[in-house]
This record gives sequence, structure tokens and C-alpha cells, in this order.
Amino acid sequence: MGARTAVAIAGVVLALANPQLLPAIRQQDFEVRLERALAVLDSTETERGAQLLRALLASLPPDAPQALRVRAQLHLGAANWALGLKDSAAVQFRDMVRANPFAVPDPELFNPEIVAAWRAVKRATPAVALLVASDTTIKPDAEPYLVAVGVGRPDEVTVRLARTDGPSAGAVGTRIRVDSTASFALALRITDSLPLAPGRYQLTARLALSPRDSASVSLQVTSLPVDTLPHETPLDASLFRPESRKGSPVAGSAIAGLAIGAAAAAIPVVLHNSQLGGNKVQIAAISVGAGISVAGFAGVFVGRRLVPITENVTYNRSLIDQWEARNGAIAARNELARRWAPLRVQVLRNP
Amino acid sequence: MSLRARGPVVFVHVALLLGAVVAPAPAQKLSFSAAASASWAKNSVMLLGYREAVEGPWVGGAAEGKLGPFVLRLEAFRGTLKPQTGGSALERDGGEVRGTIRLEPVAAGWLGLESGYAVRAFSSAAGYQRWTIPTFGVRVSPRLGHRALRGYLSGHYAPPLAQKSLFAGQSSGGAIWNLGLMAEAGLVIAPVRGGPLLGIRYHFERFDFPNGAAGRLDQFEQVAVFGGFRVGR
Repeated sequence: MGARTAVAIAGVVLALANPQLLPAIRQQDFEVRLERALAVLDSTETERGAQLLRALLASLPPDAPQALRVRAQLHLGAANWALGLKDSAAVQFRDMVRANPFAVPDPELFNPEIVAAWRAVKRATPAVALLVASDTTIKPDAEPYLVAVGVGRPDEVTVRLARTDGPSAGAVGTRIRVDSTASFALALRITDSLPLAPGRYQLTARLALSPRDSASVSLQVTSLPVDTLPHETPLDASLFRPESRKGSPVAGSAIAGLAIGAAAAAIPVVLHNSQLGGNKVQIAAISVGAGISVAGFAGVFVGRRLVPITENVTYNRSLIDQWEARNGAIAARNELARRWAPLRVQVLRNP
Repeated sequence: MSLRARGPVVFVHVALLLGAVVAPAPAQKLSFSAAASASWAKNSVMLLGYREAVEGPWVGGAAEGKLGPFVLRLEAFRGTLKPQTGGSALERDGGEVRGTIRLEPVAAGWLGLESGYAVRAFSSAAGYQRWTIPTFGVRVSPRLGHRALRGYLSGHYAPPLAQKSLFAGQSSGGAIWNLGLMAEAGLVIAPVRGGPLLGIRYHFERFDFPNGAAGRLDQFEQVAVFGGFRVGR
């Protein structure tokens, strides 16, 4: 049993033990096969190397790593070109451009004729792709979201970021001319004072000459929490000055009390009919009159009105105004901080 | 009593009642108070040259409603009057119901125009006596320094037109006084926006019938303390 068989058996055993390892093992197997094919090509066995690459590409599942597929297509195209199979080479180059317009043959590895052939195929192939950071944090008021666009045939590209899980309002976008690749900054703002709302978005690039060719990326935009300033505590009561003081005694109260009290005592004296006899002076009337008079005297002191102290009222008002102004400024800053909270942008699904 | 004779009293009552119906506006102050009262009443009479005096405790209560500048007050008392020491007058049971309507044209409420109507009755071994007493007058009630302290003084005139029923069985059957006066002074301690209220008052009435001491002279006094509760805005 050779070493490769032992490795394969070990891989099968590991995959059975942990199914999540299977894709990784398969990818490793594809990479080994690619490296072996490239080694065959390097050993000038071009035809055999092309066969190996063709077999590899035929066996690649749809979810195989794009970089591996593109690399295999590029080398197969170059091998076909070397074998004189230029149409087959063009097909491989076209598939490669469609798969990834950003991919470029290394001029150090490929001869200029192959690079020129690839370039000619690329410039005739309508294709578009987007490249964005898989997970990044943007300050929407200061930082743009960087987007790279790659095309095959030079074209006008319309890039649009639109919400997919909420109100359609709030889409942002731009239109740029792209010859091969271009990157630009997308401001995550609806207006200068309104950032993009958190939610799920679709970033789409569409070619002007062939609108059916497009690329899209699903993005999850999340607003990150921000540190806000605490409001000021209520002003301590000891800071305030008394706003009023007791006014002067109410002399009129005593006068009114005495007058009505005296009148009460005088009622029987004045209204009594002398022909009826009996006492004119009545203890009851005097008692009530005395009570009224005493109340009048009491009113002199208990009736003292509160006189406002204007300067203290002004001072207290200014304390409150300043406190409210400080709290208002804090609230405004907090509101601004919350509105312009950093946005986390995550790629949900690559094109 | 003829309608012409009742004219001034009727006019005052109608004017105040019409004012109470027409004048109130939705935003006017509304308050209501009720109080219980304990009083000492005294009735002195000179009848055909013979003087008698009876006195005793009367208890009762009062309710008062105020809407804007109008005040409606109802009072009721009941008690027994006994002859003063050494007197020979008859003991009698008495009672009184009095209604008063008051217009306070000044916002501060220190001046009031009043009109009242009282029915007072006495019952003794000798018979039954009933008084109907319409009055109108003026009331002055200044604030005594604090707004919870208010003294008042009122003077009423009872037109010489009202009728008094004498003891049943007597041949005269009725009499008309030619001078009727009523005065009252008091003190009310009550918070403006509601709460308990306390007060004292002294009430005096004088009725002179024709022929002076040879005919009939009547005098009624009452001193009272009262306590209750006020609600309102």
C-alpha cells in the first residue's frame, strides 16, 4: 500500500468520523490533481497535462472553489493554445472571464501571445463581477464603502445598493465606466443627514450593453451600538436660592377684624328696642365680635403674602436654563451619535 | 298680603333668581359646603305690656352652594326654648327653615346682595305660632389677612308686610309688624379649595308691631358655632 493510498484511507476514515471534513478533503484532492496536471505541463507533456486538466474541470462540482476552477481553465486554455487548439483555448478563456473577470494571467508564467489571446477574448466577453470586503465596519458619516467591479468587455456598469427586507426607499447607487476593473467608494447615506438604515441589502452590478449580465451580493447592514453621554443629574435643591420672602404684616386685616367685631358687638345695642327692656349689651354678641377681632389680628401675621425676590427667581431660572441647555446639548450629541452609529456590513452570499 | 304690598320682596327674589339662571358661565368657580351647627337661641317678647323671655339650645345645619357670583344657602334649626330663671312664660318647641340667595358682584366676594325667606314656628301648650319672614339686605365679608379667614356682617330689612299667625284659637288670627330688622355677624375659617370649615355667628332680629309696648314687640337672637366641610374649585 502506497503512501497516497494510506492518505486516502485516512481521509475516508476522518470524513466518516466528521462529515464536515469531507469538503475540505475533496478540495485538497482537487488541488493535488491540479498541481499534478501543472507538473505534467511543466514536464512538456502538454497534451497529457491538458487531458488531466480537462478531466479535473469535468469532475469539479458547481461549488468547487472558484480560484481553483479559474486557474485550471487558464492553464487548460494556455495548453490548448500551445497545442494549436485556439478555438478551444478561446472557450476556456471565455469561461474563465465569465467565472471571474478579476483573474489575470501572470505575464511571468505565460508567454505574451497567450496573454494577448486571453486579453482579446476578455474584451469580447460580456461579464461582470463584484468584489467587497466580507465583513467590515463603516462610519457612514465619514467613511465610504469600497466596491470593486471587474468586467470582461469594457462597458458602463450600474451599481445599486437596495434594501430587500423593508421599505424600498433608501437605495443608493452609481454608474461608472469600467474598462477592466475599477473600484469606487459608495457612501452609505441616503442624504447628507440620513445614513443607510440597518437591514438586508442587495448590491447589484449590471452592464449597460448587456443588462442580462449582472452580479450581485447580499449584504447584512447592522447598526453597531455607540457610547452615549449620560444626562446630567437633577440640580441639587441646595443650589437654589429662596424665591420669595414673607411680606409686611397686613394691617388692613386688623382694621377689618376690629370693625366687624365691633359691629357684631354693637348689633344688639343699636337694634335693641328700648321699650322691650332687658340688657342692650349681649355677651353673645361681644363674644362673637371678640372672636372676629382676634381673627383679624391673627390675619395680620398669617396673612402676610409671599413677596417674590426677583433676582433670586432670575438666578434660579438661569440655573435651570443652563442645566436644560447642557442636557439638551447632550441629548443632541447622543441623537447624532446614534444616528451616525457605525454600520457593520457583512456579505451574506457571494455571487 | 296683596301683590302690590309684596312688590319689593318679589322683585328682589326674581332679580336674583334670574341672575342665577342666566349669568353662570362654564368656567365659573363651583363649591359646595355643609355644616352642622349648635346654637343658643333667645326670644324676648313684650305683649300687651307684659314681658317674657325664653331661651334654649337649637341645633341644625346648613348647606351652601356657590356657582360663580351666586350663592344659595339653606339652613334649618330645631330646639326647645324655656323661660329664663324666675320667668312664667310657657316652654315651647321651635324650629326654623331659612333660604338665602346671594349675589356677589365683586370678584373678591367681599360684597353681597342678599335676599332671604324664612319660616319659623313655635309650638307650646297654648297653641301654635308661625312666622314667615322675607328679607333683603347687604352683606359685607372682607378677608381677614389670610384667604381662609373671612369675617362678615349683614343687615336685612324685613318689609312690614309679612304676616304672622298668632296662637291658634285667638280671635285676631294674624298681625302685621311695622318694622322688621335683621342683622348677623360672624367669622368663617375655611380653605378656599375645600376642606374643613369652622365658624361662629351672632344673629339678631327685631319686629315691632303697632302700638309699641302696648301692642307687641318681638326680638330673636341666636349665637352659634358651626363646623363642616367644603368642596369645590
